[in-house]
Amino acid sequence: MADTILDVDHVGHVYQTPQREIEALKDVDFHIEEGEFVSLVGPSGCGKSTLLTIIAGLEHATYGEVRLNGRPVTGPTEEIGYMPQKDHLFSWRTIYSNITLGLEIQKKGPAYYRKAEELMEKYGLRDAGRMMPDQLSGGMRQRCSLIRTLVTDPKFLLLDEAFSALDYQTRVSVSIDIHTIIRNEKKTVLLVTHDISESLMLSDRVIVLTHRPGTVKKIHDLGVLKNLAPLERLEHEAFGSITREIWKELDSHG
Amino acid sequence: MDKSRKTGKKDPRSEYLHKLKTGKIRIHVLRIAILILFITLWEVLTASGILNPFIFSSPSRVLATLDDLSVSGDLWRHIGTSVLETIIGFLSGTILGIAVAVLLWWSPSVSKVLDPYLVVLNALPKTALGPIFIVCMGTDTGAIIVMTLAISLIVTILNVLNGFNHTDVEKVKLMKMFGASRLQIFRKLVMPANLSTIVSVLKINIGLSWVGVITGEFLVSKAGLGYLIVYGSQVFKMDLVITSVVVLAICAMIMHAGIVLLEKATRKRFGAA
Repeated sequence: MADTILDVDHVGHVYQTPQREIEALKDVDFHIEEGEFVSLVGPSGCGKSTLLTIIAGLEHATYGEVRLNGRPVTGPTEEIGYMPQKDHLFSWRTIYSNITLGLEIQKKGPAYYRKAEELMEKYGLRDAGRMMPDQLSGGMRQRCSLIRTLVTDPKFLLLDEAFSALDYQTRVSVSIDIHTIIRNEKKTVLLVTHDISESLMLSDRVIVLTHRPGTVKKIHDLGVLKNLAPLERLEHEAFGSITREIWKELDSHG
Repeated sequence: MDKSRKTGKKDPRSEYLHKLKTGKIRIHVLRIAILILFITLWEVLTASGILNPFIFSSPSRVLATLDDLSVSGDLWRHIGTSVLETIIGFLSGTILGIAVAVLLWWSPSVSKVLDPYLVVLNALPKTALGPIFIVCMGTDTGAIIVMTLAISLIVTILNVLNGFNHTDVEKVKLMKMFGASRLQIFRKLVMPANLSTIVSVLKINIGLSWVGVITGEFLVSKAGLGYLIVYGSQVFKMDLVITSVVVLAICAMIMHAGIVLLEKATRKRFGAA
């Protein structure tokens, strides 16, 4: 069995507002192993994004602990790569300088820039380097966004509804794209999404959260689907049955 | 491709381009026509005595006054004084305003504390402070520049700070996840993302600076277009007043055109941020 890379250890979170307390997360507990692709699905308002900001180190949990490679996460760390919902490429930067943004911030050496160029070459962005973001299609931009996350060489990737801003057609093709890239680069991933089919197309395991306060309702191991490519999964009989199962779990409110 | 079309029928693309071009030309022609009509009407009405030329002046009188002023060299002295005051007031108001906005963005708590003061200062008609500036600064260009500064400063702070504070939070989050410091977030995201806000502030400020300079010159001055206007009205030389207003309009227009050019250049360089 591979090593555990991320521990979410009985995490709970309560928001304080002048009017009342809002319990967003309750005793969330799961673990992700190295090389795994795990999805976190839940109805809107289940505290998915709260959990994400806690794992990212941007917010502290009210109780419980998040550990990366056994060390507690206390703030943003270079070991975690973050891919936001929209591509958020900066319109005033070329594709190349968008992709190397993280390297600039973390003041990385030339080896990282060479790696960035390699990745761009490998994933069909070589000629896009000097272009501006608005010259690229939505799918291309999303690929740039992922590569921008990969170039700083994080151990663990957090994808925040990474495809939901795209239309269906593009979403499927980008999902395939990203599945390939992440497998190639051997990254561990946690994808937060409300889209069941997306989670089934991409992951090894799917964690289902309940409605607020969010807590782990069930963890599905995708078994036979794991070794299939995203499109093959769509056609597999297990895809429909697991979809229906998760659908019911999300529907029953708690 | 064109062969398949019946002769006599126009290609839709060239038809469209033709329409676009003629449309633009028509607008320009109409614009110029309005100006010519206005000037002609003004000349005819004053020459025929329907309007009193001593009060309303006339295009020919304006030209004559301009000629007199430029021969004596006074014209350039007055234009130079006002333009210089405007540019100094404009630059200092803009630079200082942006600097304060940066500080307030940097420290949200200071910004919160100072908020009501900014709101009150923004609502206060700055011309009311004119006499205070004169007492403090003396009856010199100093008071006029401070006046100009006072008028553009608060608006600049409020607009720029508002732009800074509305920088996309998701982009800020992205920067934070890369471990960016506040300085890096400012330099690599907040500043470039707000260039268009800053350019629009420049546009507002150039107009406000003229307001500051002219009101300042109304109150105290020995030279400048505002001085000429006040002087002209006091000795009832309306030709001088109206000539000064025409010159003022031309100067303000040129400066505005300069900012528009700057805006186009930043758009080209930074994209639609």
